[in-house]
Parts: sequence; structure tokens; C-alpha cells
Amino acid sequence: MNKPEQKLLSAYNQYADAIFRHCYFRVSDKGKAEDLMQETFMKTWQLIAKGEDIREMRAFLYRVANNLIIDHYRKKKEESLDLLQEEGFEPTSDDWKSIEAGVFGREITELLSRLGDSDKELIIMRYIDDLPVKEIARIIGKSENVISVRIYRALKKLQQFSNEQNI
Amino acid sequence: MSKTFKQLVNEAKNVRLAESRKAELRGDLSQFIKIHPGGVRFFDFLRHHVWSTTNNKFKVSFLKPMPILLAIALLLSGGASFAAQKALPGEALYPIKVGINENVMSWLTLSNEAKANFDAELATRRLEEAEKLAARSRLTADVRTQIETNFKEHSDSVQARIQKFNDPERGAELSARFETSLKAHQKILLDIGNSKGGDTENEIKPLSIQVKSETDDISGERDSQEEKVVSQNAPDVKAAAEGKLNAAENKIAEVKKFIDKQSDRLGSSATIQANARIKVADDLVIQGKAKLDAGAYGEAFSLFQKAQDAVQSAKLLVEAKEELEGDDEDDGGRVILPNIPTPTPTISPTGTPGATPTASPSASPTVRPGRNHESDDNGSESENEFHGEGKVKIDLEL
Repeated sequence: MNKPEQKLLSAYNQYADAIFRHCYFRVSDKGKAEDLMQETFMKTWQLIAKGEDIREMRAFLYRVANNLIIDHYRKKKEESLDLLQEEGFEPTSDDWKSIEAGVFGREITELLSRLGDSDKELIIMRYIDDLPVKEIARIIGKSENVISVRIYRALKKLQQFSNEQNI
Repeated sequence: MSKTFKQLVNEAKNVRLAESRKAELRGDLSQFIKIHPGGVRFFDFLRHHVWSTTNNKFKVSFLKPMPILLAIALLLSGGASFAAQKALPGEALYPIKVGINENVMSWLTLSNEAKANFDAELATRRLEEAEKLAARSRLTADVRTQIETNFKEHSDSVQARIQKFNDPERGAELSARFETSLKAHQKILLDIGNSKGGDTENEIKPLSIQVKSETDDISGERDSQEEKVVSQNAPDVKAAAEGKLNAAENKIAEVKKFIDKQSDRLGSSATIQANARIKVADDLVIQGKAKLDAGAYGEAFSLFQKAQDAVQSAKLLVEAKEELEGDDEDDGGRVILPNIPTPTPTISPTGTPGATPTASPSASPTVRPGRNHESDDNGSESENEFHGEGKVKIDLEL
């Protein structure tokens, strides 16, 4: 096994679960999340094979996954990308029903679904993926300050939703 | 932040791939790396060129090594590869469709699940080809035998692959979807046979028996997979049922929109029939929800799956109705001239796709033996009265 191959497979062992988890909470579909995770590593390999030197593998994988997730949303018939990337939306019962239940229940998915996708992405990265703000900023391509403020605002929204649902 | 949010987050962190699944996908990735050391541009070319000509239902996963001559053929074939996608057995481009396009697609799918999905697509495609040929009175015994053999091979492969799925939910999903598709196509074939009568009906009968046999097999597999789903731990069965409810409701909404869009073309009678099928699905969902509330998650799962099957079937039948009714005309290079007195019949050569009929009255029409081009009293064409065979009618009634 050559070095680049070793590097990617080692990254797979280390990050496959995290990337899958991230995709799962973004698209709320187990099967799709698997596909996106696999495609993330495939695309990363394509770049490695081309000679790309990836220094920060985790951040790189998240960036690739994020682009694939955005492509996935664009292809979806029922949802508007613009709508998802706005401040958030008031879910109707149909919106909620459009999200498949996951392996372990609806509560967290329901809570996250009330956020716009860009806020959801930050909450998932910060609290479920446990990524530091600095790394999130590198992945998304914004300053740490901007990311910190956005995370804070997203948390406030979640708190408001939680209170409304009396969680 | 409330304690509950923290608990939810901690639970969320436990979401991960099953070890066996992770290992399987790692194996796929490893194989991909080995056979794809650096041919990125060619892979991208194939992905764009071949993938764009097919329905995007199946994931493009991995690329197997391709004989260099075949690769060159693909590069050179360009438009032929694209045009071949609509070719039917007996037409010049059909070997490209099956021998090149479908083979390349097969190479691009590496995981067992992707291959199972692709085999289901190919099995269905063979039946659609038979339907189109039958609608055009071109389903000969030789072609029917070829289609039957090919269909059975892919159908058997679907079942064999599903048996190796690690996830019974996905096994149940694919087997249910495939079973529904086969049942719909069997009905379509029989409707075509009944409409056409004669030689076409005679050729459809053995094919329809084969389809029934494969349907029974996949139905058994579906039962087995659903049994595995419902024998899981109660929270997992509940989650599966809830997921299936969402999927069924999504599918119902999608098909409702589809039928609304098609209603002008379908006509009021067919639209009512199609909506009656959707009503059946709605009722099944209501029954399923009652079971879900009562804690009977296994039964709820089955009812939601049946609802999904009902609307899938409705959609397939509507699509077939639009595709095949009025497709009695053979546009494979033959010149069809309505309202021209019957000329001396000649045997037409195999047509080239894309030929368009001309309206020149001085042209010598190339016709099928026995075709009558005289208009009937209502002024409509009757050129499809081949050996007494009638026009195709697909019935949507329950």
C-alpha cells in the first residue's frame, strides 16, 4: 500500500463515523448520509491522486462533505435551497413529516430542522462534531468572530424553540 | 442551554455506522483506490457522458478498469451512445445500449446494494422494451425469448444480492419496490396483450408467466426482509415504522402532484381511476397510523409499505398509459402515411432511429405486411390494425 492510499484509509478509519454523522443530521436520511460520506472520501481520493497535498485532512473532508450536501439540496425537488439558507422557517406538519426518523428518535432532528441549513451546519459542527470554532471557520471560510456570533445566534434560536416546545 | 439539549447532543454523538457496514464501505473504498489510481479525467468524462444519458436513480460509485478498445469506442461513439439509450431489441443501436452503455454503468456500481438497484433497473428496462415492442406489434418470438432470458437473469440477481444486505430495512425497501414494479409491468403487458390480441397476445403470455414467477420469488424475499425488520428491538422497529410513514407520505404527495399535472392528458375518467388508487394509499396510511399509536410497530411498517407500493403502482401505470397509448406507430424508420390508399406491401428493413415520417403523397410508403392505411369512417387512422390487432389501452381501474 502506498503512502497516499495509507493516508486516506487511515483518515477513513478516523473520520468516517464523524462525516457520516454530520451528513446524517444535515440530510436526515441514513441511506443518503452513507452515500454522501462515501462520496466524500472518493472525491478526496481523486484530489490526492491528482497530487493535491492535504495538510488538514479533517477540515478538508468536512469541506468536501459540505459541498456534496449543498449539491444534494439543490437536486431535491421539494425544498428550495434559498429557503433553507435563510434565517429559518416555521415548519408545517408536512415539513416535519418530510424528514425521516433516524435510528434513535425524532427529538434532536426536529429541533435542528427548525434551523436554516447554515445555522444547522454550525450547530452540528460545534456540538455534535465537537469541532473548535477555529476549525469551523477554516472549513466554512469565514472569520472566527463571524462564526462565534452565528453560533451564538443559532443557539438562541434553539433555546427559543425548546421553550416553545416545553422541552 | 437546557439539560435536555445536552442529553440530546450526547445521544447524537452516538450515531455511527454499524461496524460491519463501515468495514464493507472501507473495502469498497480500498478497491476503488486500487483500480482508480489516477484516471480522474476519464472517470469524470464517463460520469458526465454516460451517467447523463440514464435516469439518475442509482448512485455512481466506483469505476472498474475498462479495456482500452472499449474506452476508445466510448470516446468515439459520442452521440451514438446517447441515441442508443432509447433503442429497442432488433434496432441497430441496441447492442450499444446493452453491450456498452449498460456494461459501463455496471462497472460504475461497486457496492452490493448499488448493483442490486442497478439489476432491478435493468430487469424493469427489459420489460419496458417488451411493452414498447408489443405496442408496436413488433414482439416476435425470438425477441421475446431474448428479453425473457435477460430479464430473468437480472431479476434473479436482485434477489441474490438483497439476501446479502446488512440492513434489512433497505432489503425490505428494494424488494417491495421491485415487487410493485413487476406487478405493474405484468398488468401493463396483459393490458397490451388484451388490446392487441393476435400474435402480440400470444407472445406476451409466456413473458407474463415469467414475470409472475419472478414476482412470487421477490415477494417471498420481501416477506423475509420485513420479518427481519420487525424482529429488531422495539425502538428500532418504531423508528423504522416512523421512517416508513414519512417515506409513504412523501411518495403520496409526489404522485398526487404528478397526476394533477397529467390530468389534462389523461382525461377525466383515467384521472378519477388514478386518484382512486391514491385514496387506497391514503387509507392504508390512516390504518398504519392507528397501529403506530397502538404500539403495533411491525404492522404499522407493513401498512405504510403497502401505501407506498399502491402509489408507486399508480404512477407506473399512468406513465405506461402515456407512453404506450398512441405509441402504436412504428417510428423506427418506417414512413407512415395516413389517408393514402393501400399500396403494394413490401417488407421494411430494420429502421434507423430518428427517421421522421414525410407527408409527401408521391413517396412510396414502406409499410408492414397487412397494414391498412385507409381511414375509418370517423376519419381517424387505422394503420395499426395488424392481423386484427387493436390499439393499446392501459386500464387504471382498481
